[in-house]
Amino acid sequence: MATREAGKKMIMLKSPDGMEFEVEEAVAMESQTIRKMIEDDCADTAILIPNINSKILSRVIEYCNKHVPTTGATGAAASDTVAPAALAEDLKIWDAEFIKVNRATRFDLIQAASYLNIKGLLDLTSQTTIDTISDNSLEEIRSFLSTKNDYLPEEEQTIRRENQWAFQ
Amino acid sequence: MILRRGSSPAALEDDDLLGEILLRLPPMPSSLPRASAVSKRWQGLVTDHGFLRRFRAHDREPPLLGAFLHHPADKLKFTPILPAPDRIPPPYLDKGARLLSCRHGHFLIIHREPWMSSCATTPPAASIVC
Repeated sequence: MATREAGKKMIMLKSPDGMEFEVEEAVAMESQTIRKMIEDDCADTAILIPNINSKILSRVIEYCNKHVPTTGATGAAASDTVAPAALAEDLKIWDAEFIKVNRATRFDLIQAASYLNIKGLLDLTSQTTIDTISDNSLEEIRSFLSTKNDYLPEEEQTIRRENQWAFQ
Repeated sequence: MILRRGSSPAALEDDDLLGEILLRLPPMPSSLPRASAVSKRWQGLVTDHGFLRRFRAHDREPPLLGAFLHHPADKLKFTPILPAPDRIPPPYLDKGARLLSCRHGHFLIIHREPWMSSCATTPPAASIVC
């Protein structure tokens, strides 16, 4: 949970299972959904985030905390003092560790990233899913994503025949 | 890699979210034909015009598929350079075809028989050289 720091505006995010998270407004505004609520003055002192349980919401806040542009004591953005390439590399390594979660958690994070409109998190979670399946057979993809093959055998054969080169 | 089976995640029941995930497929020629073969629902998503527009616009470097070369015998020949499964077969081009231009994954061909001239497109998010 975030610690209140002098001069930083804090807001409370509430999960449907009753947990409350106090976060810096700048961190919460990494979510375009929350940003719009704040900018439109629709946000009260606490914002209820429906459909995202406390376990997932805490991970989302962790991601936003890491990715929010930080400012130093002089007010200069951290990216002004740290080489952007080093900063990007650090974030990439951090993201790779962050996304080492089980399948169910990853799909919950995709849903949360979509609802809260956090592009970076949606990119990370979706891309990781695609990377996981891209080298696998159709059967393995269907199995991992629990997708039912609703083609008749002859329909699937036709699709494979039309683009035979793609299945070699 | 061994993949685990589990119950269908709620995220995958939502067409918009599944579409978001599929947008991240590699911009390789085999990606969408293979995705189409997973299920009818996937086929509907990846052949949708809106999806294809977004797939092409996704911020990635398109692969080089191959090159069109004019042969002395007045033949236009496409030589694919990618390995399988992204090695697209050469399109059928009879003697007399000339490549006028190619840009942004489209190529313009003129043929001595007017009805054979065409403007065609390569697979989404791909490029060719000529």
